[in-house]
Amino acid sequence: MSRGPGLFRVAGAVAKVTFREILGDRILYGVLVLAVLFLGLAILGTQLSFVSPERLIIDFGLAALGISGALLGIFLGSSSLNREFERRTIQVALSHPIGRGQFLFGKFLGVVLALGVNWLLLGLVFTLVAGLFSVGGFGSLFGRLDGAMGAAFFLLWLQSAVLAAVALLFSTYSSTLVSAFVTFGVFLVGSSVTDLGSIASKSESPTLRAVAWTVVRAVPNLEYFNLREKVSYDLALAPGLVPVSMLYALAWMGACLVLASFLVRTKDTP
Amino acid sequence: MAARLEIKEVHQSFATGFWLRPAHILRGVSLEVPEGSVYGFLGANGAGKTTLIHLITGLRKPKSGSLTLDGVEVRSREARSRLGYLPERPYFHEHLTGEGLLQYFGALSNLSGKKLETRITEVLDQVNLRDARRVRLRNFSKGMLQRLGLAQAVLHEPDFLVLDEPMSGLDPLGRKEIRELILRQAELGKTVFFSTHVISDVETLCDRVGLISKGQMVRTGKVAELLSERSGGTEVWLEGSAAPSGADTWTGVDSVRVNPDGVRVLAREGTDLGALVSELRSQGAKLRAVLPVRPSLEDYFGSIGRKEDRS
Repeated sequence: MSRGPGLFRVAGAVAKVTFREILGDRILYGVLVLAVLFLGLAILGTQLSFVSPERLIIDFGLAALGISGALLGIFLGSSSLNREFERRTIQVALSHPIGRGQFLFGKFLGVVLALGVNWLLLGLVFTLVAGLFSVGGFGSLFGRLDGAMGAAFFLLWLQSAVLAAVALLFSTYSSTLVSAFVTFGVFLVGSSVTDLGSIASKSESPTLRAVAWTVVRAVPNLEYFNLREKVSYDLALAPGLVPVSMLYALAWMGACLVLASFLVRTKDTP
Repeated sequence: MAARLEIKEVHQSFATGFWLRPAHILRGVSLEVPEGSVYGFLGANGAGKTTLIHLITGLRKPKSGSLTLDGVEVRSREARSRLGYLPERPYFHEHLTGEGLLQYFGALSNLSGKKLETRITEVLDQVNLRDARRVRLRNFSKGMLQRLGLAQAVLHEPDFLVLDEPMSGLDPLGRKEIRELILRQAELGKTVFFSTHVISDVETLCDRVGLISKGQMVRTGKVAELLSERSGGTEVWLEGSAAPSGADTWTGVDSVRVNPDGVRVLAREGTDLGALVSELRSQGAKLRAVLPVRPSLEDYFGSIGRKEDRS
């Protein structure tokens, strides 16, 4: 009795096709240009500010990486599966002996790989720009490129992967546009969990407090992935922060993919 | 002959409009496709052909009824591993090359390594696309895409092929190529189920046929049996350019038509031909030929379709 190919063979094949498709997509390069412009703004800022140029460039650079990675994760997560349905390319794929969950996992892997390429390219551009415009040149910048900086970069990639998983989940039962909007909302709320939590705790209305806490707890806390302040002010990282953040990201991605793989079974093929 | 595909009492409907009213697309469809046959699934546009094909390929779930391939539910992976599918329009990833697409679908059929590479070369040869192996699909013509679609459908050597309008939109040469490819699969002992609204394709390729109209199976059976249900009568050809006077009112005569190459007298089924010929001769007509009229599948389904429309 034939049971069809295993999870990793299917996911590998789908991821490869998805990754290549994204590399040919203009949106990837658009986001890269946006991030480079943001870095240019940081350079302009070094001319107008009394803050140390290295700190400003690191601060702006990490913000650029974070925002562009998040936008790309939201866009790719929302569109990658829906595009298969809209363009009907999924028809022949699903007539093969594979599960819809396997296919979905492959789409997610392809997106995460593409986010990795974006992250690598932006990291390279950031290092070049920061090195060129730091007062002490590359020597001064490399003095700041320690483990904390590496961790900050790595966690931003994880953040974009988590957002892609959330967007993919929403896209199993809504359009690309709706999924992208809702995930962007998740990004805004998830990036301000501490502030929203403190607002909620100070609120006198129990209903408002309950709603705020529910919203805060229903979205991933993206502050786990944001080390910008700590890195730009050279603050020490709490021990175990990176592994905990990684586990937190894996838990969110896993939960979203499991739920999405159930929902995608009910999605009608075109 | 054992039935490879069995469809029993399948109903399918979709919610439409603001009030989500159900639109019934299939209403109790039942049919059997015997092993090794080429089954032509005929129907007008909107009759429910593609919906049934989506159910057979496991892309959708029926509201009720059952579909089995070799006794196994069609949505199971086991059934899908035995099936090759070519959709009406082959929507493929345009950034891939012909070879890349086959590697992708090969992996989804659990093929890999040397075996996959060998099969890719074989099927590209079969569909005459060897030279397009490394060409991106965005540069393929419609005919090339259709042939590549057929190549991916047979890549994993399935026993059962489902082809949705495989010749739609192709030029005569492209149609001929696809027809030959289907016949080759039949020679290899594969069971082929294909939908079309072109009756001549069915006459050329199929040994069995089913007609669907408004979501219901109207007729199924062997092509020869269906045609023997009806007789087209007999045509008597006379020389000259003038019809015997009053011949069109004679008993058993359906019509009399004067053609540039002679006069055609069409006699109904069961007419006493001997008496008719004697009568014609007595009128001075010179007999040239007496031929049985073979009804075409088009005539057959045309009459069925008209009956259905009236009901």
